[in-house]
Amino acid sequence: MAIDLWIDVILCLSVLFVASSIFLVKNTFSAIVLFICLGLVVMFCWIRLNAIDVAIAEAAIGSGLTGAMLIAAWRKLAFNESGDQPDEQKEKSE
Amino acid sequence: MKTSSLVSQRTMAVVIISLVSAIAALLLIAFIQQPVHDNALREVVFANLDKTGVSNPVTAVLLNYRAFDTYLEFAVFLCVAVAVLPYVLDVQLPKQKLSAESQVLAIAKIFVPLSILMAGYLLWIGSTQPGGAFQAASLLAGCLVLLSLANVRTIDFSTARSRFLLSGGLLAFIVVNIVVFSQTFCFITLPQNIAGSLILFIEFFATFAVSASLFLCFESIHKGHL
Repeated sequence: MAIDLWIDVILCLSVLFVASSIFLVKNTFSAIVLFICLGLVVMFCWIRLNAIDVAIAEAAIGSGLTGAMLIAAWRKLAFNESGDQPDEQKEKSE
Repeated sequence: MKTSSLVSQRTMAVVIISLVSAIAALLLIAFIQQPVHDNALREVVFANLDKTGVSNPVTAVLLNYRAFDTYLEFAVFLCVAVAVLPYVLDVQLPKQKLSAESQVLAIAKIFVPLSILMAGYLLWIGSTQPGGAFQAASLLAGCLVLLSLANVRTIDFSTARSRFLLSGGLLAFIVVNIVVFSQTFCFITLPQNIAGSLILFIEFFATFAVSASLFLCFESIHKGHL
């Protein structure tokens, strides 16, 4: 009983901690990685709530696929800021 | 000049902080004032479970009791797919040959067959235990993402076949419900004796539709032009 309660308290606190640290970090990439971590922590919360199927969906879509999309978007952003490389390629292809 | 901008910045910060605190306080009050959740619906779900064709209550709610919600969800997935489709339509295909094996391809070779097997298992087990179309679809979408990262061509979204794949869940749902309606004159109500197989039929097509939509979202960012 007491151990269960402590696990729940630690999970709640870690969700709040990870979620707030997403807004507090300056680096975009760290924020993305923290977002993926948040998805995994929330997955543990769903498991504690006995919702295994929601946990699977949260792990796969919430942190896996969304994380992949965010990292792909971050790569594009970094590419554009670093120089004119992509624009030149575009002109050549056209 | 500088001090005035500093002052206005400070007032902005105060306004924002007070607004956010007010909304948070309102949400907390709403949360506290909510009546205690009574599980009245739970008993109704379990009482009628043998009429739904499945024994997993979550699948029963998703595809039988509340089938219309799931149907609209498939429609939302289709709308998202249509919205991001222009980003991938005229993208050049990867010219890189597969002869030079990448690390990602080596990982994909091991994990993709296992994940496809696991997705099929999740789809099948959804009628009795936790699992179902969405979980299987997310696993399949993960496979497609892995293959896309390894520069393997998977789905060509410019073909008509891929459009049928994307709208498959919605089409299966509409076809099943039109056929059932023409036989029994009950709107979105599956007949008891074949409900299980009809649910599996809809879930099968929905799995591919949802996984293709999720993969299309990833592909529009990863390969699509800006």
